[in-house]
Amino acid sequence: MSIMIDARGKSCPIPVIMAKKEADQGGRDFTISVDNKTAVENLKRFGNNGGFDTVVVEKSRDDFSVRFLKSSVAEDSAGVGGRKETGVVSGVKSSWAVFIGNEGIGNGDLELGTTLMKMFFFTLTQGSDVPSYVLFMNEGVKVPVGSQQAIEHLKVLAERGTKVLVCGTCLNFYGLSDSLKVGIVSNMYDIAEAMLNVDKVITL
Amino acid sequence: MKKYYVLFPNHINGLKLNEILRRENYKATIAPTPRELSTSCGISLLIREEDVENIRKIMEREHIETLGIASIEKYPAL
Repeated sequence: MSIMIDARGKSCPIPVIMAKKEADQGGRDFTISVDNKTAVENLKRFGNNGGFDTVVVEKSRDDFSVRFLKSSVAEDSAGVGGRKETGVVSGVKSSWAVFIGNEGIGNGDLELGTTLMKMFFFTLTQGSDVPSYVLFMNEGVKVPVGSQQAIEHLKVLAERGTKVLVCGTCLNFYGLSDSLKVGIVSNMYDIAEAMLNVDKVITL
Repeated sequence: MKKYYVLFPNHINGLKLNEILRRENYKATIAPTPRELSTSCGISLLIREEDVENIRKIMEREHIETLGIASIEKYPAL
């Protein structure tokens, strides 16, 4: 939990001095509230110069918070890209594939599922470890056909070496053969071979 | 690099703003709320710096409920 420091109503150098005091005491995760943009800029500059990530939230025109995170804390919470260990004992990254058999992630509300699908591919583009394959089958083929945002992310992954294979039989079944926006029209042989070639297959 | 996220109390408001921005040709990316900003798996919209002020006006005009616009700056700059 971030330590909260209220510096609202304090004039010019005081908020930065309060931040410096906290940093000098070894603070690695603290949040300072201030009431003006100049103070926000000064705090950010102080933080970035001192090796902190800074996160600014503008709650209203005169209520801001600036969170300071020291790199190890930031790395712990930075997400896919900031992960230190891959979880593989040997230290060698394992190859992986993602199998998508539905338009949305999981079962349940379709609008929620398709939103989660967009967020999933966004998250993959932010990480350093991209999958060797993304495999689309059955209703999953609707993602590289119709989800504008997911298509953009899939293009980024493809540029970084991910092979996007889309089941041709499935495209044909849904009448979408001419509408594929990203990926290669593929078949069961290639898709099954891809699954056997990687160390793990993640099904969403 | 500085990133701007619109934060929401629920996904309905997030999808509503995304739809409006798409209609009005603003670039917005549905993204999971970064862990620095929230512990829950919320949805947020990643927007471009040059659009922040206009989007703020759209949010007011369309009565979109948000938790504000957050900017994140990574050290060292990515």
